[in-house]
Amino acid sequence: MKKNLVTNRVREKREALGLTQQELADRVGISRQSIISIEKGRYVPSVHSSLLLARALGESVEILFQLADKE
Amino acid sequence: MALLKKHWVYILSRATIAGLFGFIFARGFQNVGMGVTIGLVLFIGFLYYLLSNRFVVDSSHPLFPIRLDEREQQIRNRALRIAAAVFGVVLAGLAIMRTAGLPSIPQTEIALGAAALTYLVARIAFERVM
Repeated sequence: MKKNLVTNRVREKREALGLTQQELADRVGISRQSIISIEKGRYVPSVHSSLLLARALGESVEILFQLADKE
Repeated sequence: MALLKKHWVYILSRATIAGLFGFIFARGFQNVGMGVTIGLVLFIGFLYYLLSNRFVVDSSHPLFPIRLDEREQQIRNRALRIAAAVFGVVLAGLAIMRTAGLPSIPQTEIALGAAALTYLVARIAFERVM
């Protein structure tokens, strides 16, 4: 299976703000299923969606998304 | 329930469409059971679009609130590409079989069926891994 190249802290930040997945999805304008996939690391969003996520969570994109360490 | 109340325009319009299709099938095939079944399946499909969490529901357009987000668009496009490739391969394979003297079969219909099935399977598979 393909290893994820990008990790993220979306779930951590969302929970810190007390938002549900649906509430975050509504703020960003993507589906709840996409939020679930992003949080599980199965889907890496586009730059545009990443910026919208970062804005909705009050964080910078660099903090929200990081390159996975090479092994 | 609140979601259904919020999107009553969508639900009413799709119920009307499903009812119309059901009526057309019931009249066309002289079979009320088939009409009711098709109408119900269609309506359940419309409700699935609204409630599945796979699509963005845009309340500012009450009649057409369902949107594909970027992930769903990627899934659809990948599935379409694979289905198109299967269509071409099956069609070419059947054409070769025909020139080799095998009995004539409806090539386009079989290729289209294979492509449609591939599209559905590919979508389900991508939904699970993406």
